[in-house]
Formats: sequence, structure tokens, C-alpha cells
Amino acid sequence: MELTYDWNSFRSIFVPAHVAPAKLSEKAKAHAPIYLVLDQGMILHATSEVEDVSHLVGQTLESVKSSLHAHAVVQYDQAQVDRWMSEASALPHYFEQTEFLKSKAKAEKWSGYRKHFLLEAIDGWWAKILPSAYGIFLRLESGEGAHSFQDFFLVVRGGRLVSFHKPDLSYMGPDRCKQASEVVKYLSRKHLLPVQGVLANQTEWDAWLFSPAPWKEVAASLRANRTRFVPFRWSIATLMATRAFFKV
Amino acid sequence: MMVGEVNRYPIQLLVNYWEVRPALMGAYLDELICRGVTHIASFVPWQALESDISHSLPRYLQSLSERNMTITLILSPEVGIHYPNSGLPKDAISKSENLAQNSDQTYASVHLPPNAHSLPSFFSPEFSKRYYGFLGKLDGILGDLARNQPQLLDKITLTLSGSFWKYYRSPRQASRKPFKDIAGDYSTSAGLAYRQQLDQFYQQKEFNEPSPGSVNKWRGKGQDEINRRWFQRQSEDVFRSRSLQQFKKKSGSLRMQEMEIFTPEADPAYTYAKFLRAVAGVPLDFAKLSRLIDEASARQSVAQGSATQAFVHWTQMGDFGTLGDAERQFLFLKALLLLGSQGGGVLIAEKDWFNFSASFRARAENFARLLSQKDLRLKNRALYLTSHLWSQPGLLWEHLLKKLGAEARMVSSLDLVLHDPDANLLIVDSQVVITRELILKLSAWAKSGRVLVLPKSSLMTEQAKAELESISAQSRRIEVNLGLPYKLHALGEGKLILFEMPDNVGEGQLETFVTASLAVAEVEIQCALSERRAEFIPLSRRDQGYALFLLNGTRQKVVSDLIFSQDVSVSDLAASLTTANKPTQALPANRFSLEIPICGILPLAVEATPENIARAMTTRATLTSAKDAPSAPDQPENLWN
Repeated sequence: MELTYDWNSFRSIFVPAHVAPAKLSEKAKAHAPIYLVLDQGMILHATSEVEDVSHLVGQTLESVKSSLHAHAVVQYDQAQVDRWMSEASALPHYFEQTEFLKSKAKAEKWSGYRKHFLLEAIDGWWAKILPSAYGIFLRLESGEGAHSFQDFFLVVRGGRLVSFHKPDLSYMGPDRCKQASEVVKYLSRKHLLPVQGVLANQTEWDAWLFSPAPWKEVAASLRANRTRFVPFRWSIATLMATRAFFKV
Repeated sequence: MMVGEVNRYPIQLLVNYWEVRPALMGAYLDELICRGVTHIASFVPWQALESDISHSLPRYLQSLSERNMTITLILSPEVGIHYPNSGLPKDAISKSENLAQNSDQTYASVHLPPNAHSLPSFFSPEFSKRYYGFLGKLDGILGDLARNQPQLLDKITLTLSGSFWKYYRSPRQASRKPFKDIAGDYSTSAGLAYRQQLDQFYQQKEFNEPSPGSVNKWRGKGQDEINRRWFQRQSEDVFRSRSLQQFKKKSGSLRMQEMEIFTPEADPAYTYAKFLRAVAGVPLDFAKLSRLIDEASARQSVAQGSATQAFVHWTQMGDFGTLGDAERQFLFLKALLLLGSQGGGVLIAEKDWFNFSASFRARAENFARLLSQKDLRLKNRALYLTSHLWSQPGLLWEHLLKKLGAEARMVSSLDLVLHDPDANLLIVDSQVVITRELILKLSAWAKSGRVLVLPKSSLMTEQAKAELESISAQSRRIEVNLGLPYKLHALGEGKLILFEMPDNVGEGQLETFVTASLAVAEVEIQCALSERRAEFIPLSRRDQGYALFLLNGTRQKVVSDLIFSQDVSVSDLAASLTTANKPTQALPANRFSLEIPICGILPLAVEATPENIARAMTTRATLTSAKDAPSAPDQPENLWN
């Protein structure tokens, strides 16, 4: 049975690992924001990147303001948070729900967190150029000679990610499923969608998550033939090169 | 295995059978066997069963049977399952009238991947009918297997759980303090059931005395909080009982057990932590997860009159997997020690388990073995009888917990009190409705050398009052005002403390009263830590002495003095358990200084000196808190935190 929302695999591929506090500079630590959820001025939940601020819970914001020093305080009203979370529940999966909450909370200023570049592209500029429905077959190879790999399949409709899971390739046989071109053909026939295969190195993929200009690095990897498109489509390659050129 | 039997598997690895392709299932299970796994646990997602056209569940059970593996099959709906809507059918929770509401009149929700969703109401006729239909279908499938392939089911333990009931709480209230509000379902369907139950319950003769009009006192708006509590508890009991009945029709011959599965990341107290993590990427609230384990382990739920096996469930999709190694190991081991020592344990995804280092796994397995053999056991030294386990308890609970830590237990069932082998003290919450039957049973319990602490409550029926007066009249009494005004009665070989709770009672008064009650019950506080950031779990050893686990749930190293009420010998627990000859012990003393590493758990073996063993039998606790007596830090009671 294929899960249409395979969160575990999705997270391992698209959710950047958390930046540990130790990696932040002293200056950044001193100014690290403190996030609060307030109920009529009373602190219900407090959290910070760099220190334990749980002692603030149960106090009023007014009474603790002076002790917060240089920290920026990002506060949310509990009733509003409840409303957002309730609205988010109507969306089909956790990824969309989280994106919805982020759009409402507008709290993406935190330096260590940002949306994955591929998901951002699917959601944004690709939607204007690519077909209304398509699939992406992602094969992340690890080890010498790409002997081991993990596969992932995404389906996009109308610019929205509608399913993501590890594809069931058991019908293809062990030899055929190693050939990316065969897998792309199989998935395309199975889902009745144009499918673009992307083969990348796992280590590089993980590094791109934190890169300030990921598309530039994708383009470089593509030129060096470490990353491959199956089938190779000039239009897609040009699209990425353009993106990389503008250093986005 | 039936309720109350020994749990042989305090660590249970979760396998999501619906995610493994049937063709690969055999190889997958073989790999588990190669890694030493012979017992696993699996949820049965409702939707997965309804859409299971390929019969993956029977095939899965067949694969297990072929490999002689045993399984705990969890049939009740639970949260934190890697399936959309935690496995609930989407249409069953799409209508607002089928959803549960918390005391803030907002939908009770769970915010875990693969999607956050609202929780259904078991009071909704439509949902309820469908749910029992699902259980019936499951019973049919298992019944057919039992008839046609009985060998397949030899190794299966069917498991029912408390499901969503404990999550029907307001995140607003729970964020301040877990279990702070009156938990329960406040939906329209629940409201109707509540009124009906109320009418039925108070038709009992006892509530209509001295005059028929007396019943209004019990049913009035002013009693709403009280009545909601017992209504929710009773509804949960009925739910458990009815769920079990469903499996007596066709698969009644199979082993059944009752669990209480607690998923800390799904708890309403953790909702805003999840929100902030989602929107700002801040690290997850490790300290809160640790506190939630404490809360879960302090409560003992009941099913069919016996204690359930309480398990903490670490989901694969939650934030647990993203924690650092030290933090994950700390949370896992803490949950294992606290719940495994009470007959429960930890449910963890198979992948998360194997992500632990081999040395940690070996250490945890050793502890699990000791716990399953009851070589290490957490004793309930005092019980607290409340009217609803998931709602806010009365004021005395906090002080009892502060004094006894892991050895204090909250229960909502009289059966658990009557069958507890260890507890010497019972405090009855002032929100409990006290009937004559309760007085009779509790006084009989206390007569065998135990101490019963009972409130002079307005929630006492006339018959109960008369019974209590009769008991009081037959015994000598002492009137005391130690913290709270109370009367101390001799009750057979035991004692009865009848206390009055003034309107504006101070924390100090409550603390003094609890201390006095512990002293009367001869519940001695054996040790304490000088450092408030550290905590400990004392487990009784089968042979002699006890094991003391010192825990540092902070991200800083903690140096603490460990102070005992008498001279003891302290040694490393592992050495004490493994070597035939006794390990070299430090000279007996009553104070030891220890450094606990970040997220560390230090296991110690503690043995009283022979002369103290005899003395301990007669020592009484006369304790005051560190706050009240900072000038005398050498006494453990003064450093208790």
C-alpha cells in the first residue's frame, strides 16, 4: 500500500535539520528572539533558540519585559493561534498546514529556517511555466558508484504538491528499477503524468539545503554531471541555469 | 495476557505493517529477527482496515506466525500513527457534529504529522455507531482467523486502549500546567449524554435523602464541575468496557490486554510548542516533554477493575526523532524507568530504536529485563483518589507529589486502591462524591494498618455522614491543627484523618498537613537532592535495598548532594547487579556528592546498613520543606524539591 503523504520520507528529504544553538555566534545569541504565546497578556508558552525561558510561563509580559534585555520578543495571541491552527486543520497534510501557519504568523525571519528550494520553486515560479500537472522522481544516491539510493516521488497539480511518497517499484523487478529512465517511464504510465527524473548525490543534496544560492550549486553539479536529469530536457536545464545566473 | 499480568516487554518496537509492501514483508521481518527482535507492536489504523482490499493484516499476521514472532496488536484508535488523520476515516471526522470539544469550546485537535486533525467525539451517535462497527469488522476478521487458522493467533495479544479521552483538554489551560482544566468532551452530543446520565445517577436513593428535594443540591449548576468529572470518568469506563465486549463475540478466545498509551507530542500542553516550532523553527521544548512523562507516570488508569499497562509512545513523525542523541536517550530511558517499573513501558518506532547506539540499546534492554522480571519495581507509597484522572486534581496532590515524587500515584478507581499492595496512605480529593459504600470500603481498607485521609466535604451523602459519625463515635480521637484542622481517629490497626479545608488556605498550610499525614502513615522520605534541577526515581529491588536513578534533564552539568535520612551504602547499580561478589562500596554515610552529566541518568544501588534497616521500621517522617527551613540543609526533608 502506498501512502500518499509519507511524512517520514518527506521530512528526511525536504525539512532542513535544525541548526544547533552552539553554531550561533555570541552576538546572535544575545539578540536571539524569544517567542511567546499570550493569553490576555499572560504568557502561556515561551521558547527561545538559545536558552530555557520556561520560567516565563504564567507571568505577564509586562512584568518580565525588563528582564528580556536585548532579545527581540515575537508574540502571538493565543486566540488567534487557536484560530489559525483550526483553519490549518482543513488542509490535507502537515506540510501545507505548516506553510499556512507560517504565512499567517510571518515569522520566517529566523536565520536558521527556510523553505526548501525545490518546494519553493514548485509553489512559486515553476507553477507559471511548467504543466499544470506533473511528477518529479527524485533519486538520491549515496556511496561510491551509487550502489545505494533512496527514491521519492512527488505529484504536483495546479502548483500544489498533492502527494509525496516512496514509489512502489516492486512490479518492475530488481534490475529494471535500478535504471532511472525505466522508472520514469513506469511512473509516467502509472500516474498518467509527465515525470521528470532528478538523480542527485545525497551529500550534495543535504548541503544544498543550507546553501544561500542552491540553484547555482544545482547548476554547477549538473554541468559536472554529478546531478542528472532523466530524461534530459533543455527547457528545464535552461530554467535552472537562469535561476542560478540571477543567484536566487 | 489479561489485565494485571506481568508485562514481558517494557520496550515494544512499532512496525507500520501497512507501509511494508507484502512482497517485502518476509524479508523485513527476517531482518528484525536477525537484529534480535522477536516481539513487536502494531497499530491497526481504522482507515487502513476499511480499505484493506489486499488483506494485508491477515497476511502480516501470517508472516509473523511463520517466524514465531509475537505481537501486540493495538486495535483502539490512537494518535501519532503514520496514517492520514491518525488512521481515522476522513468522512467520520469531517462533520462538525462528530467532533469533540474541550472546556474552551474549541475543537479538540492533535497536531502531529502526517496531518493535524480534530478528534472525534465518542458521544456522537453517528461516529460511535461507525466506531463500534469498525470494531465489529475487526472482530469478524480475527474471529475468522481464529476459526480457520488458529495457529496464526497464538502469538497475538489484542490490545485496547483509552484512545482519545485524555486529549480532550484545552491547550490554553494545559500550557500553563498539564491537566489544569476539567478535561472532557463538551460537544453538543456529550452535553445531551451528560444530562441523561446526571438524571439517572442521582435517581439513587442515597442522593434523595433526607428529602426528595435534596437531589437538586447534587444536580444543580453549582455542582457542574464535580458532575462533569465523574461523568467523563464513567463515560471512559463504559467506552473501554463496550470496546472489550465487541471482541467477545467472535475473537473472545484471544489474549486481550488494556493499555493506556500516552503520546507526549500530541498532548494539548504541547500544542503551542508545536506551533512555534512550525512557524519559527525553534527547538522543541525538551523540558516540557520530560515533564509530560512525569505527569503520565503519576496517573494510573483502570480498565475492567484492574490497572492498565501505561506506555509512552514516541512517534516516528513527531519531533522526538529530531532531538539530539543525549536528549532522546534521556526521554526514552526516563519513560522506560517510570512506566516500565509499573508494568508498562515504551512504544517506539523500530527505526528510532535502531537509531540509538548499540551500547545504549544494550543498556536499555538490561533495564527492561529487570523491569519485566520485577527485579526493579516502583512502589506506590501513597495514593490520591480523584474523581477524574485527566482533570485538575485538588490542592493536596501537588504537595503529595512534591514530597514523594515518583512514589505518589493518582488513581480514579476505588478498585485500584483496594488492590494496591504497597500504599500505606490514601488521600481522598475534596471533589470526590463520598457515598456510604465508599466510606465502608475505605474504612475496611484502612483498618489493616493504613491511613485514610478524608475531607469533611459537602459532597458527602447523608448516609455517608451517618456512617462516618458511627465510625468516629466508636474510636478515640485527637483534634489537631497542623496545617489544616483535622481529627485523628484510630481505625482498627489503621487511622482515619478527617480534615477540613478552609476557604483561603495557604500553600504552607497544605504542605504542613501533607507532611503530617505522611508522618502518621509512617511514610518515610528516604532521600533528597540538594539541587532542584536534578530528580530521581527510586525503584525497589527484589533482593534487597533499592535502585536510585538520578536524572539531569537539563542541558547543563549538575552537581548535587544526595542526602539520606540514615547512613546507607551506595554503589554502581550495574556493578551491583552483574558481579557475583559485592562491588566495593563507599563507606556508609548519609550524604554523597555526585555530578550528573547533561541529560544523564546515573543508576545507583543503595543499601541501608543493618542497624538502620531495623531503625527504619520505626522511623517516622517529620519533614519540612527546603523553602521553610533553609537553615538546616543537612536533613533530606529540608532539601526536598
